[in-house]
Amino acid sequence: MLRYIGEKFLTSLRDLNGIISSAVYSISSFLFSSKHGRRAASRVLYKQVYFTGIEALPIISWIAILLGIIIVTEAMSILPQIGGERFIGKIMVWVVIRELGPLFAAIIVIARSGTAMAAELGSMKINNEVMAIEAMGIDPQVYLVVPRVIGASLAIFILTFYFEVISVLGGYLLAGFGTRMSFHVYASSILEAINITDIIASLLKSLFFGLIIGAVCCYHGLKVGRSITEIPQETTKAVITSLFLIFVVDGMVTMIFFFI
Amino acid sequence: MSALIEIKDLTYINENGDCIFSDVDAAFSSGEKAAIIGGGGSGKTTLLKLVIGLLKPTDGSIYLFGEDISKISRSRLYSIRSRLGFVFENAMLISNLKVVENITLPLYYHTEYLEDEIFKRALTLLDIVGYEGDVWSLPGHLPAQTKKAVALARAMAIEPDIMIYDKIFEEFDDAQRQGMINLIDKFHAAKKERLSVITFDRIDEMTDIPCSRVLKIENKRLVPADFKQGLVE
Repeated sequence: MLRYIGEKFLTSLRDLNGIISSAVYSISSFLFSSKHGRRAASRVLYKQVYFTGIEALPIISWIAILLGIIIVTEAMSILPQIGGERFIGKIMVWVVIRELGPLFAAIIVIARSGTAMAAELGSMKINNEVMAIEAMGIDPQVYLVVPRVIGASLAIFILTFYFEVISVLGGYLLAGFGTRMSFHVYASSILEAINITDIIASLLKSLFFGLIIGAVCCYHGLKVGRSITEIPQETTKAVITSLFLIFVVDGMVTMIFFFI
Repeated sequence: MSALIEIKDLTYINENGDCIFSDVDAAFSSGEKAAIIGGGGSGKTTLLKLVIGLLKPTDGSIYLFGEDISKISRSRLYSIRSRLGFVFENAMLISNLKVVENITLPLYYHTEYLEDEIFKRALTLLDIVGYEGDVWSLPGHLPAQTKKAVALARAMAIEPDIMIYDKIFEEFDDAQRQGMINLIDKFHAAKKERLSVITFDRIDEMTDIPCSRVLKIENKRLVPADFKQGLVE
């Protein structure tokens, strides 16, 4: 039993080391790598941004609008009873911009793109395509992992900003039409509540989440060995690990900004 | 002639604990066209993977262009591999890249060509290997022979000093086989120092292919084959 726990712990440590190495390598390679191969890697990066960012816009829009409506509905059911309508802005900033915006964008990306990344790389590994890339003298980390990690980070960064804007506007749909709160009052309330720290915290989280999702999903995708049954197994692990790590990092960033 | 590939006291035990090679010594020089014969499962592909550093020897050393590949950095190994062309048994084209992009990929990494020059070269190579399909289609649906032709174009793209063909002639009919032999001959002759290594399952598969040396895998070693027909100086 003790041995089993020890082995599991060591495996987790090895995985964490692999994930952190992938993320760090991606950033350094993106910033400092030579121009060789940048053109080919850029194509992978653009595809990743398109797939993770642009193609996710419809589902992100719907979820953002609905979330905004839900939060405003809940808030407006209690705030008027305590005379606190003016706090609607603070609630939207705290809940949507600081917390749920980055989290929801990340969760949607894990479900859409994270699984696709892990499964695609896993299938490339099974079909020896990764080996073929190595045989061509191309580092798979540079060609396959770096553009995916950076692409996912950029996409989540933009999606988070988009999610927050749409969610806040979606909230007004109810605040405006359901409770007769004017847009001026609603917007003023939000502008009074928001400050630069909220925006930095939100976008910083989104960047971390992008790095985590990209690194975790690529790591698990490339961890696939020889059996095709490993692809769904590693994809599931990629989802669970990504979810776990983004909640941990979310908590850490929130705490740091709380004490600043 | 200098040795481009040198294998010294190579022993390889695979992950299942089976000894595949024991004390193998061999050297392949520039300008040579060598054949390696070995039955199914004898370890031809494993040997080639060991030679280019995709597998690590259990014991012994492998020198590529005079450098011990077990003692160099990862980036140096990738740099050395940029002088190698490898046509795999199963082609191993990159499934999410279009046919033409499979050829341009090594060119982006290992040449200084401009974008349009890269595409021009890729299209020329596809033409040389006789590819007649849509260059902007994904390669998944292509027949095995066509995939191998594309893989050959990909390997030829960077004008490698060492060209390795792993059981390339399987699945070809006589005409396709002859076309491929001519291509390999022409490509080998195009660069005087080029080393070509071709693997076959059986000795009768290579009777019409001129080679300067024939080796066979026997008793976990690489030994000269008793084969004279078709040998060229």
